Amino acid sequence: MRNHIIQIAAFAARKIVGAIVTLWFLATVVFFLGRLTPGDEARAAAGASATPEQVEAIRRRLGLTGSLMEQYLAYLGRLAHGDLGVSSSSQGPVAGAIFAVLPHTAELVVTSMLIIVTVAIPLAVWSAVRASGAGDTLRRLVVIIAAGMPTFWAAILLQSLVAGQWRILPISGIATVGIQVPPVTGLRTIDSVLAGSPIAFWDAVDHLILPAVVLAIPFSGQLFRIVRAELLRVLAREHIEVVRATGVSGRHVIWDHAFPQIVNPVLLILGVDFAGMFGSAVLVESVFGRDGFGSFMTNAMAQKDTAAVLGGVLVIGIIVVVTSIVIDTIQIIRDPRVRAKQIGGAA
Amino acid sequence: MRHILDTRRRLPAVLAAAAALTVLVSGCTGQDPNASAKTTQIVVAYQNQTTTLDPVRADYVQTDNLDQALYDTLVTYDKDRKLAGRLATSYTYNAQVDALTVTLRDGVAFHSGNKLTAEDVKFTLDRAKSLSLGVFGYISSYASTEVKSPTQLVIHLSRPDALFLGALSRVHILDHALVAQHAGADQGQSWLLDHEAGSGPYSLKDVSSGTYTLSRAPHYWQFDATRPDRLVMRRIDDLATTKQEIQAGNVDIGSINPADRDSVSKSGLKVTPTTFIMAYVYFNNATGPTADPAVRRAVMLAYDYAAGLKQFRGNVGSLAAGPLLNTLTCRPDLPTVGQNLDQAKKVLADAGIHDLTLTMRFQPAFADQAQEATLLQSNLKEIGVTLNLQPIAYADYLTTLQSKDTIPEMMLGTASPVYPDAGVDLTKQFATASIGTTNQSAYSNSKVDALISKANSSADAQARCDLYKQAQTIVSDDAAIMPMYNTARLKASRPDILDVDFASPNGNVAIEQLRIKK
Repeated sequence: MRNHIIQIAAFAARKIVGAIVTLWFLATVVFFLGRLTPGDEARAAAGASATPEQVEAIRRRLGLTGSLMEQYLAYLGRLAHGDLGVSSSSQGPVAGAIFAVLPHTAELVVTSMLIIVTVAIPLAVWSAVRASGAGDTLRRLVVIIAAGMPTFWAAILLQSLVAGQWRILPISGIATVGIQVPPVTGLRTIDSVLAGSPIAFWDAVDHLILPAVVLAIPFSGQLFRIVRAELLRVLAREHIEVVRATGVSGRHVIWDHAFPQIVNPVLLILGVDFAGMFGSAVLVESVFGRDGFGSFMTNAMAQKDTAAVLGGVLVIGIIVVVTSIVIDTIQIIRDPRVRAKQIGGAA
Repeated sequence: MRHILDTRRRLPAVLAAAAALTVLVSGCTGQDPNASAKTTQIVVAYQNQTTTLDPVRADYVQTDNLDQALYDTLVTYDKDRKLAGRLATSYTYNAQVDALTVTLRDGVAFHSGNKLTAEDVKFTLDRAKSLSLGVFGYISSYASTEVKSPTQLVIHLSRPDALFLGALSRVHILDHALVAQHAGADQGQSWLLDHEAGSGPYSLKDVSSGTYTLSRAPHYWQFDATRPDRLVMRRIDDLATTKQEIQAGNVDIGSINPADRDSVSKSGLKVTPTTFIMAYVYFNNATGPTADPAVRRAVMLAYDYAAGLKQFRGNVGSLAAGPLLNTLTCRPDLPTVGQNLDQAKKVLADAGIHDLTLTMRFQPAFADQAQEATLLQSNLKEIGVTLNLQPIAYADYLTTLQSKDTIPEMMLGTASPVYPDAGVDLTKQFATASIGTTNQSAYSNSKVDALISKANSSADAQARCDLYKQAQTIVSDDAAIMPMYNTARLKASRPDILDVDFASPNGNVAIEQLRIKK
């Protein structure tokens, strides 16, 4: 038992150290790339009409006067204290600006992920079960078209039809003008629940559906193809035939014997997709008029706001690292083979 | 096998039920809660992030648009683009044009209830100078303020500057007692990101997810019941989305693409040209092949201006006639630009120029500019000139302006005056002293410098105007830049909204001037 606890602690320590090293490496690369790319941050921050004296004053205030190494060490020092710095464009704290928009994107991404999991996976399973004939060909064709459809185009198309013409869902925005809830978490749906306002909750859900569906389409297509192919491969195995021969029902064959064998690759893909969606959300947010993390990063880069860019990249890095740890942990809990490999002990 | 078939049958049913539930859920909130408020509120769609509400950053147009409604300025520009008092009831320069005596309107109060006095004006100007960013670029001649009484002050300048007065239309007066309470370590910059300390016609009620809700201030010194009770500024970057929201009645004013003008008009909405800008090609007048006036003239003669305006700007606006935007006063009568390929070839041949290759930078983020760049490339090919196109981000472009050696040979761009005074654009764009900052063509002409300097040191408006006209004529003769067309954005609006064409000093729709027809 004691050995097992030590093994778990060692595993946790490895993960934490790995995460810190990954984030440090990311921060370092982005810091130097930001400094080496063309453009003068102080000039951009001071404004187009600023005199050279004003630009120099801003340069001093932003700490851009020392050597590159001095700036880097000062940056790491601030980071160690959890300080992401001050935005050169707004002169406000970067952390505050990020956490004002990140929940909107997180809400969108999580909803998309729910759609992917609840729609793409069952559809893929269904398609694998019926893997023959014209219907299957048609389904695969539809998935290929959907997955290959440019997100921007899909967004405009669905927005125009579903919201613009049919008026089933809102055209854009995060909430209907006039429906307000006190911000607590920044997640509109959660804040609505906390405020005890069902109208605000359904309004938030309403505004999430269409952009979340659009964001989910390409990722769903990819997951559909993988789940279907993996399941077909598993269903063709001999031991599944043996299970069937014992009289186990079709549903149990699929969900209790075949599907668990493809969960690991599915989890890995979902993990990668989850982080990737934060980047992909920018187009969807633009079309659906949602203030989010993507537009924050686009604006920061356009204004050469290095502190904001660095802060944003680090937050994305943290999301990737945390997602990776969560996926690893789930796999360790549910799969003895992975557990044995990662922590030790018998499989 | 039978059970597998069961699974096959159930799954579509489950999915259909989920889809039906989704539609049902969406239908729960389909009703517009603002239906009854339509006549008393205006929802304005705006583009791009509002980085801060701090008035010191009112050089950002998004910030200034909101601050014009939340704050007062000492002076402003009326609907005819003439300077007018706002908080200031009188403003007089001394003979040397280096001191400005201002009398403030009495009885003005901030939204906090604090009375607005000369101390607030002094605080605002001193703060801008201390922070030395944003709008301070417009009032860099500011030295100090002498408070004579609660309503009397003298603003001292470090040099004669007739442009200073107009620049005050972009300087929003802060409630210094309120800002002092929230000063923190950054002179209140963090607090003013999403709070206001103003005395304007509207107060800030809510900031959420890029949406700003403003409420009509009941005790405003110029209270007008035809102003809407509420102004809601909603960020929508995509113009196609804005159009749909306007047509659905969820947004009351917003920019639309020129291509959508007819369809929007047919749906009963009003379409108004606003936010006039000028499209230019800036040449580097100091170094490289474009330092030769013959090259600049040939390029100017080659471009198909009419096609550019029609195809890429929806024919909104007019061809350029002179280096400054045609909404400004103090412009001389100069010829309208036009294409003449034969003349362009002759100019090059007379100057002995052959096998010319030029490079032009442009911002690919703007589709119209990318198209204009391609058209110019094609036009120049017809006169035997090769034009290479290189994209550049705006922040990087600003850096290139720091030296005449790094200014691009050619740069495609648009510009609008920071406030409607011909002297501002002339000084920014063509004064030798502005090379390294805002003189985007490194243009230098001692005659022009003398005219601008004399004008900027004169308190006589008519004399200034005459001098500015002379300077523009020389700039035009020198072919310093290539003005293309005066163009505008189209705003679609609810038909009962008045004064959509009332421009703010920054050139955009003055949201604080919007009225609802009763």
